Amino acid sequence: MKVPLSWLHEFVAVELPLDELVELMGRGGLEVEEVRRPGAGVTGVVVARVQEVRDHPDADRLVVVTVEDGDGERVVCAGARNLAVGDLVPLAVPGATLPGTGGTSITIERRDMRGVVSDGMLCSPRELQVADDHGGIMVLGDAAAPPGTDIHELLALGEPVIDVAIPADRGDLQSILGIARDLAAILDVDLEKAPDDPSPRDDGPVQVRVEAADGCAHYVGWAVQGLTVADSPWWLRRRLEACGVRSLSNLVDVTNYVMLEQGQPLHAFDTARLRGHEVAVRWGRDGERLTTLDGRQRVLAPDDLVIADADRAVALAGVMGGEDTEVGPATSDVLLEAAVFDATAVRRTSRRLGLVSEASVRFERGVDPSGTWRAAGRAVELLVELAGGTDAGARADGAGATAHAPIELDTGWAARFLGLPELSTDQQTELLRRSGTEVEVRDGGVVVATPPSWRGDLGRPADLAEEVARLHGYEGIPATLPAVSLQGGLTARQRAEREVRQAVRAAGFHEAHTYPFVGSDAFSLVAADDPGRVTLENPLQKDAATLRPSLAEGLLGVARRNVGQGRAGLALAELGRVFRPAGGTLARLAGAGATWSTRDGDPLPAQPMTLGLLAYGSRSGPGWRTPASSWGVFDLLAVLDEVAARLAPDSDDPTWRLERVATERPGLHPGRTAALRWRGIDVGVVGQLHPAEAEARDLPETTVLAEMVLEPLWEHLRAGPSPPRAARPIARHPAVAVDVAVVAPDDISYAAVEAAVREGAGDLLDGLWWFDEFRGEQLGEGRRSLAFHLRLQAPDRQLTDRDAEAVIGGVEESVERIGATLRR
Amino acid sequence: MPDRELRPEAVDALRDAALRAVAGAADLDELEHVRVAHTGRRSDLAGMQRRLGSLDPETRREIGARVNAFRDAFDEAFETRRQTLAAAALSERLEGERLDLTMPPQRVPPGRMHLLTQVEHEIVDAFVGLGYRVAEGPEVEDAVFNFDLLNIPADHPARLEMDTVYVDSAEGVVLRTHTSPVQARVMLAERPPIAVVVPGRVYRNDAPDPTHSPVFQQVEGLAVAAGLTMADLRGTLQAFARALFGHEREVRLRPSFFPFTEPSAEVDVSCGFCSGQDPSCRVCSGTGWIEVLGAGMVDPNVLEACGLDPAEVSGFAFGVGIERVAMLRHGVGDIREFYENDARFLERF
Repeated sequence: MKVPLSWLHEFVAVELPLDELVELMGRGGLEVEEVRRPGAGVTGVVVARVQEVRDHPDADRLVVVTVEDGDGERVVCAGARNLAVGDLVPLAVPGATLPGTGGTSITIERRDMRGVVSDGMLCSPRELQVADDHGGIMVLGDAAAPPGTDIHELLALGEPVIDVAIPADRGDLQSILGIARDLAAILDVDLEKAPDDPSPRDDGPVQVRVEAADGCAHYVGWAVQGLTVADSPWWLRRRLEACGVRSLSNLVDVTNYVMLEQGQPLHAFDTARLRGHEVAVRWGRDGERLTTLDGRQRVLAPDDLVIADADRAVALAGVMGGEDTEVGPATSDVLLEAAVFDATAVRRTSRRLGLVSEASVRFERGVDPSGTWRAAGRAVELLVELAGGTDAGARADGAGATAHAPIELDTGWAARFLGLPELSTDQQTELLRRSGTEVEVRDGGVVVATPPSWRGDLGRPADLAEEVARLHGYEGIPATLPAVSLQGGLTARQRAEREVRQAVRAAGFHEAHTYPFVGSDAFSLVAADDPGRVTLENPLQKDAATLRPSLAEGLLGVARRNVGQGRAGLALAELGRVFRPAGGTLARLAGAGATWSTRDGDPLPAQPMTLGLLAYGSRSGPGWRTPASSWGVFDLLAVLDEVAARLAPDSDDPTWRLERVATERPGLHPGRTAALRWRGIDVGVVGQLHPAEAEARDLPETTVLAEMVLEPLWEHLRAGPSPPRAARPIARHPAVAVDVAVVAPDDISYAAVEAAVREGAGDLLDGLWWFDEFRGEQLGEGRRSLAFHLRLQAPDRQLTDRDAEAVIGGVEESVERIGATLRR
Repeated sequence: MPDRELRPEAVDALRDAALRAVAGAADLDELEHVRVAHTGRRSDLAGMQRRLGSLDPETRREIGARVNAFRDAFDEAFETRRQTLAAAALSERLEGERLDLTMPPQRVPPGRMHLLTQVEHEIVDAFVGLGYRVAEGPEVEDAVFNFDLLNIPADHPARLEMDTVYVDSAEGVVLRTHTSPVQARVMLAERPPIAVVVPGRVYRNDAPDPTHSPVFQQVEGLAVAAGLTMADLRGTLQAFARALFGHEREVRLRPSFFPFTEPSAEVDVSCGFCSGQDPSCRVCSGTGWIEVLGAGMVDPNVLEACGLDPAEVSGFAFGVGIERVAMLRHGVGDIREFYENDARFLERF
């Protein structure tokens, strides 16, 4: 809501410097977004009288105007032909300044304009920032001051216009009066003038009838006859334009002026175009048509609230008038409508038709249900004054405003609730009365409060407590900490999440946060057998209407961006939720801990926490880079193993480790892709991008990526932390080292060989390291030798060569069982 | 007949030759050759000693003494020379092993936690220190939790202004527009006293620009107990502001409106960048205050909708935008930088 300061001053006297006023308004809940000063910077502009207008001898579009500026005559050139001898106009004399765009300033000089020296400039409304109109020279009208008068004495140029943000529940602040009223309450001063509230009448020439009682609480139709449509005076035009409303004619301007002043939207029907000397408020009829003021034909619905004459709908109630009954230059009789339309009905129609007006915005937030007569009366007064009309009587219908129910407030409770225990009943009563609330004091600190009609937001004790706190000043509330003592902290699962981030970081992976909106064909890794997708009804972009089913696409995008920036290598991780419909594989992976339901108990889409990894290119660090060291698929496995180990109740227990199962996935290298299996379930995938995919995405061929759903791995932590690890005695006897080499066909995985070696080595095995993988002619085609270094140790004795021999024998037997041989 | 060679002068000659050779050895290998050549089993000295038995006792004694003296002198000279040569060899080796330690180590440094995560953890930890637990909820949420239970009925202007993203083919399922629905979930599931913070992603149908992002992150706070007051809210937020922005900070509450709190407040923190002294301060524009979060006392309608009796308990709630805090503290000028993940941005923090 834009508030010209002079208009505000008509209702409330504030003598404060502007910055203090703005500060006080903010503290009282009237948040000032911006203060503008249209016309500030205009100097040297005076009133001048047009003496003569003649054509420019050498330029068709110019006229040569002789004006009298109080000191004598001047000749100026002008680019508009709207001048007549005798008109009073603003003249910028040489040396005058006018505000330019973006804070600049223009200085007027004597200039030769195609052979005629122009001794100054006549100004348009836009040049003085009075209005947006640049169609001609501003003509000041008969009532203007004598020539030579500084324009500032005539128009309040440079006046501050304060833009106030209106909270959604404060419809009453959508007017100058409303803001003045609230400011008076904040400052604890009286309103300068309360607008007249005329008595209800029943003498108008047009009958009004409210048929849709639930859509309209009150309807006033006030007739004005014999008016002359013309331009509005400048003081009125300037105020409308300062509030962002375009000036059209005195008739329309008056309805807008009163709406801005009092918050009550008004509509003027051309009475001559209404059929049957009656209007009714009723619901729309199916298929009914109405052409609105913007020239568009609207098809109405039964839940559109309309105003109808004897034959047809003539306006969308509270939203926009109809073209057929629109006032125009020839209008002489009007019916002014001031009504209280239902907020929901107005909102519904406004939304459905995509039609938002100054009126609909006000009705949606609520207008003063007792303000109809007041606003209509004010408009009639102005029309009589400015358009020469006569008051022809009014009629009204409707149930009228429902009175505010009195609210019982325990002021002792309010004081405690606000943390202001010393705030007495009297003080609270006084604060509430400031904003127009009637307060009756009862015993025991209880008061019965009846808020004013316009304060629809005050309905409960908590609302009154807020009003008390607001007018008392929030800054008076002390700072204490709750007397409640609670045990805070992260749960075991939440700590585990931080552990995961730590493990990822330790391996050199930067954490990324990506947007979750992807295309329907987005790259996806986890739960490949779950084709469901969560799609959006109103996506930001049509080609990104799916909620990410996987973190892969986002990370690939980040990789592309960084490759594009010339980054030679990067390792990235994202820890976030991925989305699939309820009931699929991903939902099963999410488990009970990460599954939520609607209030009615229907499952919401699966949204488990998932870890995504991506790396490409050089593993360089600060200050060095070598092609020899680059990220590979094993780097991702290292991170995932570490994550699994940190989440496991016992990281030594091999049953909690991640198994790799060779697999193939579209978009991934067929020989370098593995499913990650954990305790029998597939929790993720790791692999290298397929060269074709890498090329299509303009990424390095060695881009590797992995994804793992974390929920199953930390599900056991939801019950609480794992038991503390027990210390293990350190064996004091020296260890014995044994190296073995196993020759196996290529189709036996390393994991199978290692498992066989471990099994064969038995209890004495204290540590195992592979140190060589070898292929060669002597082994035969399709075979490889894997060499292991074994450390043997017993807690209770010194091992001998015979122990070592027994272990080697055991390993031999064990590997032979899987089809491999020990290389002697 | 006495051996003509076995004369004392001959021993002296051997000794002189041997000592000259020791002194002339250029390195440890050569020195070892000298030792073998002059004192080894095939040396002239060894031959001489083998023939000592053929001499008469007196001559044998005299020559024997000279031979022993030769050996002592040789051993001493040898050891001295060996140490000298060993020291020279070591220092030559060390010289060859010299490293330029001003070269950067070839390390892969630890990755960086995203700035938003860092700030989230800091905010969460500040409240954990005040006795709060951390609650979580779904990002794809039932509109009943996101709106209805929070006193935002279907046709409420606040609901229509929220720019909600709706999920297809599921009536009333939305991308949560704030972390507040978790308030409702917690209150429905637990009995007071309650003190939780809820970090997480929220969504709005806003096209990205320097100050808007369709995805952003909040930390919501909720405390519900018997007798909680607005002063408790202010004290809590002051503790938070000091934990995050420094010990000198003050908070200022300004009246505002949120459907789920009454009274409601915008909360400003005093500017620590200029302390209100710099009219051109890029953070507070000279006002001395920075708008950081929204807060208020939990609306009685919300308490009731979540099964709590406003006559018995009261509560307060607040919501902090993580991006906003990060932008203010670290001078990030464009919210989109958080989601672009340029490595140079990620590595900076």
